[in-house]
This record gives sequence, C-alpha cells and structure tokens, in this order.
Amino acid sequence: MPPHDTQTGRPPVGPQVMAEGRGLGFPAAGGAPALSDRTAETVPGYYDVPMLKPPVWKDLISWYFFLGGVSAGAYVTSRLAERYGGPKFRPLATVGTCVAAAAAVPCAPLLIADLGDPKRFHHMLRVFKPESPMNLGAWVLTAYHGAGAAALAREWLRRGKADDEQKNQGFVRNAADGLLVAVADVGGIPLALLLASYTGVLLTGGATPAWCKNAWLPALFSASAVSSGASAVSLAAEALGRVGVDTAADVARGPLHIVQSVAHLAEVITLVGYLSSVRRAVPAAWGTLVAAAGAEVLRRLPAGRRLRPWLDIGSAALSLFGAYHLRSTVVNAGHDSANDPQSRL
Amino acid sequence: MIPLAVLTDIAAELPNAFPPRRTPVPDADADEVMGFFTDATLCIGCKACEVACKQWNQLPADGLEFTGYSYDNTKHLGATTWRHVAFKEKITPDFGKWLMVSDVCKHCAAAPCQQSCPTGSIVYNEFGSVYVQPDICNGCGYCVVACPFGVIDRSMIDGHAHKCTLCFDRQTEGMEPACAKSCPTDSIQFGPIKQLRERARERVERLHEQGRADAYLYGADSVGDYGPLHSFFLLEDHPHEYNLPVAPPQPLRNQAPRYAAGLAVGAALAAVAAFVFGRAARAAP
Ligand code: SF4
Repeated sequence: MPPHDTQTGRPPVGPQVMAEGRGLGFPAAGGAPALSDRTAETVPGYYDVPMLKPPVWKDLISWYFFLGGVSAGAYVTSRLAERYGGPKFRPLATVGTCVAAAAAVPCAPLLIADLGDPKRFHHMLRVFKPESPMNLGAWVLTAYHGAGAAALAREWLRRGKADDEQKNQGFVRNAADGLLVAVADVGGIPLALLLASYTGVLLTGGATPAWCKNAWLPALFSASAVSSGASAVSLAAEALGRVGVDTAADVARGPLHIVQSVAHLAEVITLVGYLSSVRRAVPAAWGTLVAAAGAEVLRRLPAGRRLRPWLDIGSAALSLFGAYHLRSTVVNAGHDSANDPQSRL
Repeated sequence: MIPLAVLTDIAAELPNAFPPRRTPVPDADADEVMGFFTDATLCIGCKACEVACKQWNQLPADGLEFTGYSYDNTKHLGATTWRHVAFKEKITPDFGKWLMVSDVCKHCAAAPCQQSCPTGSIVYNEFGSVYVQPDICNGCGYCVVACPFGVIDRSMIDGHAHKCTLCFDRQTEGMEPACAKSCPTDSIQFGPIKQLRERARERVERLHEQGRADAYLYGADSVGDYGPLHSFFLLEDHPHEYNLPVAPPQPLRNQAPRYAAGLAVGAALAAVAAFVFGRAARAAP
C-alpha cells in the first residue's frame, strides 16, 4: 500500500478510476447542458472521489450498540418484572439484573477502545453538551452504570431472604432498600430507555446518507433492545433453570414470550420503515428479519416439558444474533453510503 | 493491569481538560470574524497553497501516488491535508476546460462538527473560525461523520481529528494564513468576512459583465438551508463538479423528534412488559 493509505486509512481511488476508463469529464453526448439544467443526476461529480469521509469507527461500535441494547432491555424487563410482577418474579428479577450488569460491563471498554486516543476518554465528561448525542451518551452510560450498580447492590443485600423477612429488618435497612429501589427504578429505567435509543440518534447525527436525520433508527434500536434484552433474560433463566437454580423460568415464560413477540413485531415494523426510508439497498438486513421470524416460530413449536426450555434457549439465541446483526448492518450501510461516490448531497 | 505509564498520562491530561476554558466568540456578523474567499476563476492549479499549508503547519507528506485522472494527485482533504486543489479536466465532444479550485474547511457559521464534538474540543475561536483544540480531542470520530463536506478526518498518527485552523497561530500575530500568502494569483483571499463578501459580489458582477454568466458565489449566504460559510467560493460550474454538496444537511439540528421516536417505542414496550407481568402476578398460582 502506498504511504498515503497508511496515514489516512483510505482506499486508493485513482488507479481504479483510471483502469475502468471513467476519468474523463462529462459523458453526455452533444455537449454539456447549461448550468441551470443540471441536477444531481446529470452532473458527473468529481471523478469517483466520495464526497464524504467514511466513519473511522471499528467493528467494536456494533458490539457496543448491541450490548448496550441488551443490557438496557434486560434491565427494563427485570425491574418491571419485580415492580409489577411481585414476589413470584423475584428470582427472575435477580437473574435479569445480573444479565443487565454483565452486558453493561464491556460497554465502556468497547467505547474507549474505539477512541483515537483512549487515555483521554474522560474528556467526554469535562462538559455537559446534550446537543451532541455522543456527549449525552457518555453521561447516560455513566449514570446508567450507577443505576445498575444500585440494582445489583440491592440484589446482594436481599440475597437468600424471603419477602416478609426482608420487610421487617429495621429502619436503616428498610430506608436503604427503598433508596436503592428508587435509584434503580425511577432513575434507572428512563436511563436504560435512553441508553437503548441514543445510539440510534447518534448515527442520525451524521451526514452519512444511510443515517442522516432518520427518525426510524432510534425507534428501531429501542425495539431491538427490548426484544434482545428480554431474550437474554429468558435465555439466562432457562439455562440456569437447567442447572437447578431457581429462576422462576416456568412462571416467567408466559409474560416474557408476550414481551418478546411484541418487541419483535415492533422491530420488524421499524426495520421495514427504516429500509424504505433510506432508499438504498441494504442487502444484509434480511438477516435480522429472518432471525426475528425464526425466533418467533421456534418459541411456538409444540414441545413437551423437556424440550420446551431448549426451544426457548434457541429462540432467544436467534433473537440475540438478530440484534447484533442489525447493529452491524446499519453501521455497514453507513460506511457503504459514505464511500459511495454516487451519494452526493 | 493498566500500566503505570497510562495512569500518569491520564493524570497529565487532567489540567488541560478541567476546567474547560472559554473564549469569547464574536457573533457571526461581527467585524473581527475572518474568513477565506476562494475564487475558482483565478485558480491556476499550481498547488502553492497545498505546499505552504503543509510547510507552515508541519504536516507530513501523503506519499507519492498518481491518480491518473488529472493533475490532482491529492484527491481529497484529510487529517494531514488542509488545502486540496481540485483539478478537473472536463472534456466533452464540443469543448474542453479545466475546472480548478482550492478546497478547504468551510469554517461553517453553524458547524455540524462543532455541534457534534462531545469533548468541547472543537470551538469557535476569537476570529470566528472553527478550531480543533489538539490537547482536548480524544479522537471519538464523531465530527468525521458529522461534517457534510467530508473535510475533517482522524489521523492515524496521533489518533486526533485535524483540519484547517485558518492559521490561528499566524492570525494571532496579525499575519494572513499561509495559503493566502502564497497564492500567486490572489485566488485565495483572506480578510474580514464582511469585506470579502462585498468584494466577491463585485467580482461576480464584473464576470457577468464580461459574459461569464455561470459565475456564482457558493456559501457566501447559505447553501440550501445551510450556511453561511466563513470560507466561501466563487465557482463557474455545478458544485458537484468540484465535489461540493448542493444541499449539505444540518443533521444535529432538531433532534427532539428522533429522541421522541426512540423513547416512545421503548416506553410503549416497557408498558407492555409492566402490563403482562402485572397480569401474571394477579393470576391464580
Ligand atoms: S466544513 Fe466540516 S470541518 Fe469545516 S467547519 Fe464545516 S463541518 Fe466543520
């Protein structure tokens, strides 16, 4: 590779243009039309040099979007299961909180590793600038880690205790429990929803044609976060149930299935909306559609008590694959559209 | 384990980053706002500006590579190329001409790169130009996708974003930027943006009187719903011929509907979850 490319990381454009014999000006026979008649379609552009710079982000960004979504979805599912589902779903809430925490742990390292200068990651927090989704996201991720830690701390404090035992353990412990619940629910749930959707807004802030100002993207990422988060909780509950941990997998199956189905439906609708709004082929997108449909079919197959958990695990894994595939498809579509010499603004 | 050297590096960065320093920014119409007027009809494609820019700003070479399509072997702006002379050989069955213009950061009055910057590294300086503070940038790369002109890029050398500074350092000493200084035909002019606009309008009128009816100003007022640019151009052909956008978007404006769409879907699905878990709790065991 010539030194130019090692410095900028850009693919060479010139020799390819020359080899294909495309480098010579205005192709229309009979001379150029007057300036005023020329639209974006009739003007050839500047050889085949793309107008925009492609994103400098590596594949890590897709993993961050995916894991952030899984964590947020699992968090919301488990907190709501506890708040509205009561004692029956306590074990499920514990599993879900742990899943959310486990998925959240790699998020910050992934984000930091994608920086050009990782040792300055904290510069994102030197200003509060919500006008920049990247800055807002850094704050949301930081605060969300705090809420997740509160939820996790609470699970730790209540470990091995029955519900009525938990209620009467003195003023200080009760107050601490109430405070942790307030932080985890009132603070944590909105933060989780923001974490799931800001990544979509982040992409829509690029001039990149496949992302620019596209309101479907945040909606799509939100739907995918809930479907993959609920699937991750279901997967963990079923798998741990297999090895004898009490995860309330049997009672949770019904409600979790409904959440997964509705979220998959929302995901498919918003994905179709996104694809029709970008008006360019995004061939890889069928992967997510197939994964969502496959997950739904698998879960509905008739099965006995022994097979049921395995089908649920397979379905959840498929849904998680679809969610990662979705993030990388959207990120790649952005790269392709920025590298496309035809996509002129 | 994080090596000690990394920790001491982080500690060394702290005083730079905190607290954020603020520079009073002149409003976009103030007299002290400076800019470039680049006149394509005067450009002879000599690339003196590219060389002067590299030399003054101590930017490394981009290597020797021949594009084969014209006398443009620079191709595009980048982290180490802050002036780029676009050179297009326009040959049709009826006529042939050379289109030349020296491209540069537009120093947008409402710059998407500045809005996107999460560290506050990209600021407006006291001359109203868009400036990347090299000691603050952490290389997140968001400005690279935000800029609708494909100007700013992240360097593989130091991992930070770089672009034209409008020779901030020379300006503070009362000197004009290196490219404008070196331009042998005054195709690149530097000065208070108000005066430049006036001068540019007169120039367009004169060209029209000479029968060059295609001459027009790009970015002096606004480009689509974008603009104005503090570095504007006089062109004689469609902007796409020079790889310039006709309608650059302002993607970071009006984000509320996008946040609303994302949060609404999330909240609706959360409501479904709350409902189904509540119903399951009330159901008989
Ligand atoms: S042209 Fe691009 S890099 Fe320059 S100020 Fe405008 S948005 Fe920023």
